[in-house]
Amino acid sequence: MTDDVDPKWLERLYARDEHAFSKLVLLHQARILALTTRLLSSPSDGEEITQEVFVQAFKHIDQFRGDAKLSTWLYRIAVNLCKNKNKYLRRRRVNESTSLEELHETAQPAPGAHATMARVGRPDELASARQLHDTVRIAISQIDEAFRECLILRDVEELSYEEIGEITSLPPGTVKSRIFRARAMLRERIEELLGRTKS
Amino acid sequence: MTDKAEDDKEHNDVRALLKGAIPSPDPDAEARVLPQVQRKLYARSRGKFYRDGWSRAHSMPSVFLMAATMLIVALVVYLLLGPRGL
Repeated sequence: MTDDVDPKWLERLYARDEHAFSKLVLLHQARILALTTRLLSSPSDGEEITQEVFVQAFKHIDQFRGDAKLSTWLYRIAVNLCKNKNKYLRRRRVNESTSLEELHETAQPAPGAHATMARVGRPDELASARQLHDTVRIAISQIDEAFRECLILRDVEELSYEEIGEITSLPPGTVKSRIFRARAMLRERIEELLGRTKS
Repeated sequence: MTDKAEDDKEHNDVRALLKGAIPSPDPDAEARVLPQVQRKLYARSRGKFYRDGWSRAHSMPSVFLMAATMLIVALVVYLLLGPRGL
């Protein structure tokens, strides 16, 4: 993460300087947007929460003391807001489990999926690549949120264990064990789901 | 040992699988973040922040560019009208 914070710029942020804050948004928006979209599994929710992350950052910038990276601090806000949003969605039962068949009808392939799919030529191979991605999406949504969060921060965002620890307020050892268990759970769920679709 | 070295090949496979499957942001969403954040801050601060077009400019160069343009226009107007008015 890029994070050499100029003390003068930080002073301007503390003073709620609008141009300094706009620069903060432009610097970090892409990564925050990617993270929130992945944590919420929804581009529209991700966009909404990303805006809220920066609104909260503007409001509470004086709580940033410079002991962590600014990006880590923003990530922490993002993770907490995503947790709240997921809780809200669960309560509203929007996040209910989706069957594989339903997902096939409604889901658009993830932009990252094209690289894999482009290498596959035959229609049956294309279908199975798509089915695998759909299966992974369902499997990841079924993993406990605390584990999923660590897995995404590590395997998708490629953060270090220390950074994940700072973001989630967990000791690095706990972070490592959660990632290890999340990978095992993911593998288990994928195998289960693939077994179910074959039978 | 680095973090990356601790992850074996199997984990790299999980990583590749996840990256391909998990949704990515809408490609146009990035351009909407700053204007939306500015709008929300303007509304929630009841007009205290981001109250004018200048503060909503995406970057400082656009402010300087506009100021320079205004100066040039003023200079041209002065050169055209100023000496004759004497």
